[in-house]
Amino acid sequence: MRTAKRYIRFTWLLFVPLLMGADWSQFRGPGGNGVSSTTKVPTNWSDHFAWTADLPGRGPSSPITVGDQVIVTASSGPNQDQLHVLSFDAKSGGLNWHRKGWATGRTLCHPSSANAAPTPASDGQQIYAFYSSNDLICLDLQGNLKWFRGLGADYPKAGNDVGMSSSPVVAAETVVLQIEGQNDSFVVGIDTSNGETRWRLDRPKESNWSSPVTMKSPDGVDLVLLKGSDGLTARNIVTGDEVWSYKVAAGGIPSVLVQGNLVFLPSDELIVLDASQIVDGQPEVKWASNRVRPGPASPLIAGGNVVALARNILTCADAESGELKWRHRLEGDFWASPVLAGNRIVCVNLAGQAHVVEFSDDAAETIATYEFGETLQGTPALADDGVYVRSDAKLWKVGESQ
Amino acid sequence: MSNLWLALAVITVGGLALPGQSPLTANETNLQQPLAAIRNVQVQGEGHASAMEAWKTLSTRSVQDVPAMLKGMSPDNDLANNWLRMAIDTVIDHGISDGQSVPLDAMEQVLADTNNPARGRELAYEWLTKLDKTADRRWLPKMLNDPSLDLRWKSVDAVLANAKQLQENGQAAESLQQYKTALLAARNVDQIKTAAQALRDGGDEVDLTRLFGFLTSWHLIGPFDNRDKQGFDRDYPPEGSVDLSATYMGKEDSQVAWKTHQTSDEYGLVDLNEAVGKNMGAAAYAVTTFVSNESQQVDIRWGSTNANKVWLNGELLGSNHVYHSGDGIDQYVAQGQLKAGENIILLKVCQNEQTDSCMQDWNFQIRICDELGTAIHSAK
Repeated sequence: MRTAKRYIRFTWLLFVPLLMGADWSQFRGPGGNGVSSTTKVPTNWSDHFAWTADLPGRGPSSPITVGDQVIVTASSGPNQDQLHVLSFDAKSGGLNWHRKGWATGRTLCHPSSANAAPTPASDGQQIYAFYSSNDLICLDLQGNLKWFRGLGADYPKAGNDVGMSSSPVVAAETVVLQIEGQNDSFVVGIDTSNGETRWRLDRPKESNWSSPVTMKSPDGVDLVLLKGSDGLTARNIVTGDEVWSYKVAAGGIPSVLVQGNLVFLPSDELIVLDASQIVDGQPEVKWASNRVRPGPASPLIAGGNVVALARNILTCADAESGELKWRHRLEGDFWASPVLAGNRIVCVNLAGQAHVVEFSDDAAETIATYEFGETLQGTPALADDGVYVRSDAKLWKVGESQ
Repeated sequence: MSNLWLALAVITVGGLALPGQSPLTANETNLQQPLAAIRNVQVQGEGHASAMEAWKTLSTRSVQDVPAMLKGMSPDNDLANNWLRMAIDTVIDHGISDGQSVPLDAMEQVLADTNNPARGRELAYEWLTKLDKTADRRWLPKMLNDPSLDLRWKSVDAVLANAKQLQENGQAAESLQQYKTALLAARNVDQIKTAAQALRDGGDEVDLTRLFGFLTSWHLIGPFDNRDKQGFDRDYPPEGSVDLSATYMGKEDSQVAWKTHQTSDEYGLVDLNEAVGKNMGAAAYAVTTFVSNESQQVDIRWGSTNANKVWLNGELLGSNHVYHSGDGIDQYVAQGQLKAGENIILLKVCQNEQTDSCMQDWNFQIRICDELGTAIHSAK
C-alpha cells in the first residue's frame, strides 16, 4: 500500500493544476478521458446523498456540469419525440429551467436506448444538447435558445433505427457532430455563434456509435479526432481539413482516449498512437494490445496507466508501454464508461449498481457497492463536490449538500 | 435588422391571417414580423440570422401574447416550431416568475380550434394542464379523434387507464367497452396492441391485420444476386415491368419464377427465408395489386430489417440501403398518390452476408393508411 499511496500522490500532482475546478463539460469530462482530480468519491454512498431529482423522460446520456449547474437531457413521448434539456442547481438540486423541443429526425431506437442517448457538451458559455434524432439545441446558461438545428431534417436518412449515441464536442467556436450510419453518413462542424455549417464531410456508410474527441496538436491547433470503420482521422476543428490519419478497422462503440500526445484507439486491439510523431501523415504506433481492448465502455486514464472495461473485467496497463498492471472482475453488465477521481474508479452497471474500485499501481479492489435499484446506462459525471448519476427517471447527487 | 427580416416584415405587416384562421387583432399583428422570421427557418441553418433576432424579440413579449404566438406556429415546419415553442415557454416562465396572469381562457380557445396549428394546440394543452389541474378532465374526453396525434394519444391513454381501473374493480363489461373505444380511436401501435390484447383476454376477436391495413397477398420472386451488396442498385427485370408469367435468371444461374404467397402473420410480416428460401447475399421482389375506388393521396408505411426499395405504379417511393439496423411497424413512411382502379406496389428486399445469428432475418411488412395511420383497404 505504501507504493500505492506514493503513486496516488504523484497522480494528484500531475492533474491538479490541469483540472482544478473544471466543469465536467462533456461525455467523460473536460479532457474526454474520464478523469476528475477534484472529486471526492465516498465509500458509503447511502450516507452522502445530497439530493435526488425526478427526470421527465429517459436517456442513457450523461449529466454534465457547467459552473453551479447540472445539465441533463431526456426524451419522452410515445415515439421518443419530445426532447428535454434540464438545468438543476448543483447545490440544492432545484430546477433552474427546463426547455423542450420536438424531434425532427428519426426517433426509432432499440427499447434499451432512448432518443436522449448522446451526452450534451458545453464551452462554458452555451450548452449543446444533441439527440439520436440528430436534433441539436443550443442554449445559453439561462436556458435561452440561441439556435436550433435539425440535422435529421437536413438529412432525413441520417442515423439508424437501433439508435445513435455519438456525443458532440466543442472547441474553437465549433461544435462537431459525428453522424454515421448506412444511409447518410457524415461529420459536420457547426459555428457555435449561429448554428450554421462551417464544414461537412462524408464518412463511411457504416453504423458507428463512438464520439469524437478533441486534442491540441503539438503546435496548438485544435483538432477533432474521428474514429470509424476506416480508422482514425485528425482534422482541424475549424476548417475540417485533415491533419493526419491512421487506417485500421475501428468502428463500433467505444470512443478514443487522449492523454497529452498519446491517442488510445479502440479497435480489435487497443492501439496507442503518438500524435507528436507524424510521419507521412500517420502517427507513430507506440504499442498495441488486445489484452486492454475495451468493450462498449470507453477507456480512461488513471495516472500513468490506461484502464479498459470489457464485459465485467477492468484491465489496467502502463500507458507508455502497454505493460499489464492488474485485472479486476466486477459484478454486472456495463454500458456506461468508467470514471476516475483520485485512486477511485466508479463503474455503474445495468443492474443499477455503482461500484467504487480503489486501485494502486499493481492491484485493484472493489471497496463499495451501492444499489440504485434502477437501470444505469449513463456514464456518471464527476464535479468538485460530488458524483452525478442518472437513470431513466432520476438524477442523483452523491456528495456534499448545501 | 437584416434585409431578410425587413422583407418578411413588409410581407406580413397588416396582420394577414394564416389559412383557416380568424383575422388577427392589432396586438397579434405586431407579432407577425418576428413570427414570420422564425417560420422562415429552413434546413441547413437557412434563416438563422433573422430567427435569432426574432427570438430575442418574441421571448421578451408579454405573457398575454402567448395565444397569438401559439396560433402563429407553423402547420408543417417543426424546425421553426422548436424555435417558437422555446420562445413561448420562456415567456410563460418569466410571466409566472413575475406574477403575471397567464391567459388560460385564450389558450383554451387556441386548443379548441382544430384549424390552429397542431403544435400550437399541443403546447396550449401542455401549459393548460400544468397550470389548471381541472383541464385534463375537461379536455381528455374531447380529444379521442383529434387531428393531432399527440393529443389523441393522450386521450386514448386516459381511456386505457380507465379501462384498466374498471377491470381491476371487477367491472368487466364496462372495461371491455372502454378498451373498444380506445382501440377504435388509437393510432399509436403500442396503444392498439394494448387494447387488442385486453379485448382478446376478455374473449373478443380483434383483426389487427385489417385494423392496421397490412397487405398480406403477394407474388414473390427470387433469389437474385446481392453478394457484396451489389444487387441493391442492379435493376433486375421486375423493376422494368412485372410479368407474373415470366421466369428469369436468378442468383448463381438459377431459374426463378413468381409464386403466390399469403402471409398469416397478423402484422403482415412476410418471412422471405420461409417464402423464397434462406439465402445470404440475395435479393427478392414482392408485388401486389391495390384497388382504390378513387384517386387519393395515402401513406405507404413499411418496415424491414433488410435493405429495401418500394415503388408505387413504377414510381420509386423509398430506397434504404440499410442492413440489420433496426426494424418495426411504420419504420419507413412515404406519401404516394393512388389512382382510381388498380395500383401496383412493388418491393425489393435485399439480404446481406453477415453471419451473426441475429443478422439472419429477411422480411418485410407494409400497409396503406392515411396520414394519421387509419387503415385504407383495397376495394378488391
